[in-house]
Amino acid sequence: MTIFDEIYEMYTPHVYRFARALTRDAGDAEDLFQETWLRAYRAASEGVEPRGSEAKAWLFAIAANAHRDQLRKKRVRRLFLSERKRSLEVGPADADLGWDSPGRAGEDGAARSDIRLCLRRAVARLPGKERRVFVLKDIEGFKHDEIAGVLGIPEATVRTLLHRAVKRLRKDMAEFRPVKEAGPVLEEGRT
Amino acid sequence: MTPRVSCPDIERLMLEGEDRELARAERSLIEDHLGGCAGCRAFSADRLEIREVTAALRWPEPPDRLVRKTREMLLENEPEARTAALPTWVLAAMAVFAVATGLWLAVSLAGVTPDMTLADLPVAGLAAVLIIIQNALTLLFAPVVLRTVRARRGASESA
Repeated sequence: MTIFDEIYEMYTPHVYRFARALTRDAGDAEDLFQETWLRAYRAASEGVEPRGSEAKAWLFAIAANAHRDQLRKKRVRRLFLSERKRSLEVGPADADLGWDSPGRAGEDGAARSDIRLCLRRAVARLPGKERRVFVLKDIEGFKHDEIAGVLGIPEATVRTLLHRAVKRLRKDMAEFRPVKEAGPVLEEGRT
Repeated sequence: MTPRVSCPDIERLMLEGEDRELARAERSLIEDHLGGCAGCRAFSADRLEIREVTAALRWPEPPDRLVRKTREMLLENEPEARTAALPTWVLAAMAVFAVATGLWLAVSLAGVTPDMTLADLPVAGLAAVLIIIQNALTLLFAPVVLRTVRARRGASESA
């Protein structure tokens, strides 16, 4: 088994869920998944083959670039075919990232399940840049400097985007929740 | 005296604390602020909840069909096959031809004015129009053609 084979075995699920998070569409995610691995394979065959934890960041950077190209192509096509704007970065309000909540019995389980549903919807509704940063931070566990490397943006921008994402998630989750659970989002005494 | 910091600054600092170990002064700054700010306490509680809920979600797995198909696609794209596609001298000749055509068009089209009709255009003008139409058609149809070819290939493989 080559190093690339090991990388493929190890990171296939990660790349797929990142593709789902980026595109919010199963079909586009599959295209992006394939394009990412194709680019990675070509790079590896030219001698670029990172090892260990670097491999994950390397793959995600490829996926992010491939997604940018995918959006660019869509924009060009839309120019000619007048495709609806929502098929691009801005997805439908009920878009999902393909996440599934593990079921739990009991009242508490139902409440937790509601919160999960709220979060899933809220993350899917995040603007593209904020969603990318949030997914890389909270789901993939990257550090701020690694996210900056993956997305090719300054670290300060990563921090700002994450802060905005969390604020937006709080607001969106409060909207989704029943009134009695809207809970501790009061902004009293803020400076 | 404790420096006065704004809520957004405290929130950013709390988020930064997830990424690196904060200095003692930074930690006490947060603690002092949280003691008197309900809004930031709510932010902290919500952030914790978001992290917990995110960690409890089950993520989508790539379909087996996709994993298998991608693997096969990678095997089809062996580097030898790709490098043998076009010799370097052909690529160089194509580049020279493209640049020469561009220069010829630029020189020939210098006399074209906006009030000219298609019939008044010189040969270079017609060539430019043809090139523009050809590029537009390629741009328009290439994705559709590629998608169709891939779909047919996929269908024949699965059959």
